[in-house]
Formats: sequence, structure tokens, C-alpha cells
Amino acid sequence: MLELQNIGKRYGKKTALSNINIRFESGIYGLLGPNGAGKSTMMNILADVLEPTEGKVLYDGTDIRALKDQYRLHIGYLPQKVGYYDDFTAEKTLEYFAVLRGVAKEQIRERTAEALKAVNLTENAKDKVKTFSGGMKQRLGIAVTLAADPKILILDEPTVGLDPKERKHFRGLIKGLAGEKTILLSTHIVSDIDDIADYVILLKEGKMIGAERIADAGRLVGNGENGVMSLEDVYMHYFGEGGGEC
Amino acid sequence: MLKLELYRIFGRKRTFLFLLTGLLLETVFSLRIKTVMFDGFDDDVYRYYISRLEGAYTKEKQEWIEAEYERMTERIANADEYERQYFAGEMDAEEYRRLSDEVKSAGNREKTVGYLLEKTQYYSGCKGNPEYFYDIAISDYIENMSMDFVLIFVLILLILPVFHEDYEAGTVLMVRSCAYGREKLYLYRMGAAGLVSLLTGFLFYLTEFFTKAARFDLGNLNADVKSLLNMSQSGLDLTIGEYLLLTVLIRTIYTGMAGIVIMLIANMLHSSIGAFAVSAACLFLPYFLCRYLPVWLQDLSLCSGLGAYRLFSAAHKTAGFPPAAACAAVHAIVFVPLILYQRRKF
Repeated sequence: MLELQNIGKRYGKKTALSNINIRFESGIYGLLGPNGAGKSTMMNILADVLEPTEGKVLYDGTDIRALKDQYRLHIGYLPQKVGYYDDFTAEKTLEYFAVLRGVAKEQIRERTAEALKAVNLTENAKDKVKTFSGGMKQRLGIAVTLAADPKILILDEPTVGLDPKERKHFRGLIKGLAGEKTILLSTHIVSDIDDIADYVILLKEGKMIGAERIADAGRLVGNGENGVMSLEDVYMHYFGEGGGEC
Repeated sequence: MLKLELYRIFGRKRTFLFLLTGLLLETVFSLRIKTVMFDGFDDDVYRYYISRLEGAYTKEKQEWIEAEYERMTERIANADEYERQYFAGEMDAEEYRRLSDEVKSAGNREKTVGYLLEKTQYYSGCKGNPEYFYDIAISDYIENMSMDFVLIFVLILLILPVFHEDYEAGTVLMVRSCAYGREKLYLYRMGAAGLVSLLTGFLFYLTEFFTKAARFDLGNLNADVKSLLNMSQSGLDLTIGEYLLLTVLIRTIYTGMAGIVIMLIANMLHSSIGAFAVSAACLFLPYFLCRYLPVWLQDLSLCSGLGAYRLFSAAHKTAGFPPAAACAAVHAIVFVPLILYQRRKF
């Protein structure tokens, strides 16, 4: 469905991503790595907001640069640092992005209401975004990506700013969405993906260490008996104690 | 999408604050008018003679004003002779005082009556239906039409956020990842900003007109526009009121073009301060430099369109084209490729 072929990204002399090759089918993919590993760069390339220096992204076998908006019709992207038009209400924000994402006019009201309900913001639908807390803004961002019901969800550090209760709710929400969709979730928090992801992709210093099913995460460390290692152990193996919040 | 872009602009309190402040300043500045009449012009004298001439041109009125002018020039020419006769004892003191007063009065009135004579001679050969009426304020108003600085500042403040808010609010990545967040959005944003420019321009020009109409005696707006000496070569078959409406419309259209300049710059530069400075420079500098250019080049400039008056003056015809059309064509040739290029890159 979605494939990265030899993807590399350089900023001047600095290499942010190098030789990334991976194929995404339906399911939840957790992109794990410490800060600066290249997660956001990879997410931005997948969301077609950043051009790779090398390689290409294929969607159903076609380069997304050729598909342009036909590719973007199928994605919902929540960037790491997301902002909103302060004078918009939550409802208007969803309506605005639903229109930009190509949602049919007659479906906008229904989709907006559903998305707000999914993130527990129904009561705040008429409130201006500038009155929202960080957590509420993050939930609104998730609603924005959900409203168009995209086939591919790209969520860059979506749980940042959420309290433990909201984080739990978010995990349930994402789990509920899995099925035919491809969901890519980047985080440096192991527990965010341990429960819900089907696959884990480890990134370090712009290079992909490997990708495995969560149950087989231990294989990322070596082979044989390492297959029983937990994701947390794998993370600690590569990134050490200071590498991330577990 | 256009509706949402307009909502984004008018949903902000700042938009109304800028608009209201701008309109208030426009009203204040419209309360004064710079006269373009020559040194020595006497408004009271002009009003007096106009009250005698009011109405359509006739041969009798021409003869009367010619006689008046002749009498004045004669008095002035004979001033030395009156003085000689008085000191030679050929004239009594009372007669000398009367003639001296007439000489003084003629001196005060001569230039103004000369202007009226010039106007009358123009009326006598005019193909339209010129009328005498008090036309100084309306002539000054038309002659002073030029780029409206307050309007341009307000436009910059209103239009820059159309493209810059994404960077300030942090929505740029989310917007660009949307299916229609690129070329289509660019066109709709251009459309929204264009509409805002037209609306703002129209509001400002109407405010200027109504303020001037309330503050000054604009005279007979139903008179033929050729009644105004500064429109003697306009070639337009319109009343003054219709001509003013035409200038409002033309200036509004050119305000839309100024809006396009601002939009192109706003989309190019992501820093609001930088875009503000460059927009202001691109619109104001040509205005100040314009006077040093050849007339035909002046006529093709945006500031000429924003003034509108020059575009209809026969003295400013551009290579046989009506200047308004030539000016619009030149701007279209420059803007359309730039818009298409930016749309592809957006």
C-alpha cells in the first residue's frame, strides 16, 4: 500500500534520514526512537509536506509526487507541533480542515460531530480554540485528522500534552480505528505503542534499526532467545536509560 | 472554501479594528482638501461672479464677463494716469478716491475673473453642455485623487495574515498535508484577499466621497463633467456624479491590483515584518518615483490607476490606448504569470 524506497533526507551536511526502506500494510505502526532520531522528518515525508533528498514514497505503486492531491486525499496528518487559528471554534476548525481534506459538503456536519465526540470535545464545539488547554488542543488535532476518515493516519507524537486519562482514551481510540487503515504513530514513549501497535519501527540517528511485530520485538536486538524480550527491553538496549520516557 | 477563507479574515477582531481605524483616519483626512487654484485666486470673488453666471453657458454671459475683465484691465492699466491727473489737479479728490478703489478692487479680482474668462472661452468652444456653478471644491477633489496611503496600509494589515497566519499559528504543516491545501487553497486565498481588497477600497473611496460631500460644497453633480476646466480634455460624456462613480469603481479595481501585489509578496516572504516592509516599499516607492518618469510610463503605473484621475485625462493618453485599459493590461501581463508560478509552488 505505502512504501518508502531508499528514503534519505539531508539538511546541508547534516543527514536526518538515510536509506529508509519499509512497506506499510494496514495496521498500527509505532515509530520509536529518541528525540532527533528522524521520526518527524520521516513523518513529514510520508505526509508529503517535505521532499526527500533521495528515494521515493510509493502509494499503491505510484510515486506520491506524481499523485499530488490524489495521495493527500487518503492521509490524515497530525504534526508534532500543531497550532490552530485562534479565532476559530473547535467546530469551525474541523469544518475548515474537512473542506481542505476533500470531505463532501453534505458529510461535513456529521463527520465533524463524530470526530468531536470521539475525542470528548462535543461540549466544547462552540468554544474558541484559543481558550483550549494544551491537552484539548492535542485532542482537537486528533479530531481534525479523523474527520476526513483517511486510509492512512500519520500521528507525530500525538500523546504529548495529554494527561494519563486522556492518553488511555487516545490509545483506545486508535485501537478502535485499526482495521483497514494504516496508522503510523511516532513517539519516544514506549508504553504509547506497546499496547496498541501491531508493528514497531526503531529509528536511531536517522537510520532504521529494524521493523518487527510487537510480539517479536526482541528480534530487533538479535535472534534466538532475544525473541522473548519486551519492547521496553529493546528500547533500553538501543537507547539506554536516558533515551526515553517509558 | 472561499467562504471559509473569508470567515478566517472577518472572524478576527483585528480585521474590524484595522478597518474601523482606517475608515476613521480616512474621514479625518477627507475633511481637508488641498486647493489646486493659482496664487491670487479669490474664492469670494469667484462665488460672486458664479452667482451671476449660474447655469448654462450663453453668449450674453460671455460678453458680460469679457466686458468685466476688460473694465478691470483698463482700470489697472490707467492707474498711473489717474494718479498723474490727480496730482496735476485735473481730477478732484473724491473722483480719484473712487477710481483708486476701483483700481485696487480690479487688482484683487483680475486673476479670478481672468480664470472665469478662460473658462468661458473654453465653454464657448466646448462640444458638451457645460454649466457655470461653484466648482472649486469638486475640481480640487478630482485633481487631488491619488494613491490613498491609509487604504494601502490597512490593506497590507488585512491581507498579510491570509498567508502568514499559517506560520504564526503553526497550522502550516497540517494545511499543506491536506488534499486541497496547496494549489486550490492558493487560488481561494488569492480570491478571498482580492475580494477583501475590492471591498476595502470601495468602502474607503465612498467614505472619502461622502465626507467631502458633507464638508465641502461639491456643487452641481448633475452638470456635464466638461464643465470642469481640469476635465476639459477628458472626452467623457458623463455628468460629474457619474464621473465620480466611475473613478470610485476604477480606483476600487486598482485597489484589487494593489491587493494582488501584497498577496504575491505575502506568499513569498514568511516574515510578517519583512512582508509588511517590502509591500509598503513596492507600493509607495513607485508613487514617489513616478514623477521622474516619462508621462506614458507614469500612466502605466499602479499609482496612476489608484488615482484614477490621470487615466481619463487626454493629456495622459498612452500610445493611442485609453490609459485605464493600457494600465490594466500591463498589470495583467505582469501578475498572471506570477500568480500561476506561485500557485504551482504553493
